[in-house]
Amino acid sequence: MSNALYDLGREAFLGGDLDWDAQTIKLYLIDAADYTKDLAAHDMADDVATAAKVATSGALASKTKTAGVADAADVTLSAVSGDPSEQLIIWQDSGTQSSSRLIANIDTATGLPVTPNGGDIVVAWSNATEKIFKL
Amino acid sequence: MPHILTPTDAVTLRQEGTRVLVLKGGCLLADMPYEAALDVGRALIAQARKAEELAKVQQIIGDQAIILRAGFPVGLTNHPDIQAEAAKEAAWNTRLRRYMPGGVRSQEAVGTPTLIQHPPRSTPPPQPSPRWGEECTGGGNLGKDVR
Repeated sequence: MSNALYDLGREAFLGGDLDWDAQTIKLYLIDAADYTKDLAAHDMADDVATAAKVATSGALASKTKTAGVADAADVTLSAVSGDPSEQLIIWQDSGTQSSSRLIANIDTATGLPVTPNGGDIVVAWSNATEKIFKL
Repeated sequence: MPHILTPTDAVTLRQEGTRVLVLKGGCLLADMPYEAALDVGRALIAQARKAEELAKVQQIIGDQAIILRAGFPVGLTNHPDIQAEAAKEAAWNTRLRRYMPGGVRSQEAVGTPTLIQHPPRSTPPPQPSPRWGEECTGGGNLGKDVR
């Protein structure tokens, strides 16, 4: 498996339904035991079972989109407890799960899988050319 | 010259020496040398393929669109109208990816982040509440002479 964008998320970017730096973008820490990713079919946050969402971040800050490369400030998941987690999902929070679009699924990261211990988990984005992701 | 009567009006082909005869209902339609018959045969196949192309135009458009989406440089037809229609299908038909193994390849790149886990925050043990009559040490200077 590898890190990838959801097909329908890419489609939403091209259709003008997703706006990286104007909309609220958040992060889920996901327990893969409760979620089987389907990059071609899953589009909204309600495609991810509630039980799979171990932690939810606040809104990503300092977002940039220069040259089609999405970047943001590192994000902290506060006082995380729950099941061992194997994935991260970047999603757009519309306020309603059924209209909150899934953007990217990350299952390959330094520090994954992680077993929450009640402490904070800081997600430090890559400083390589693709940053968080590149369209 | 006697005529051979045949029970149907079907077109039949016969070879007589170095010549080829085309008959319909026993009547001679054409009598040609073998070279001409070969040319007519090739022309018939070519025209039949054009007719077949039009008869199966929807299937050709669909197949050509998938090939275009896959980026494979092979044309299934030379007909410019069919090619144009296939290009439109390739560009706009979002259901095409369902027929492609692995979906549409993208040039996207997703970075590899780093997760840094911190130990739980230590909380100070709860302080026992002072008993009645004990001097409160945390109350600052309340009730004391500060001069």
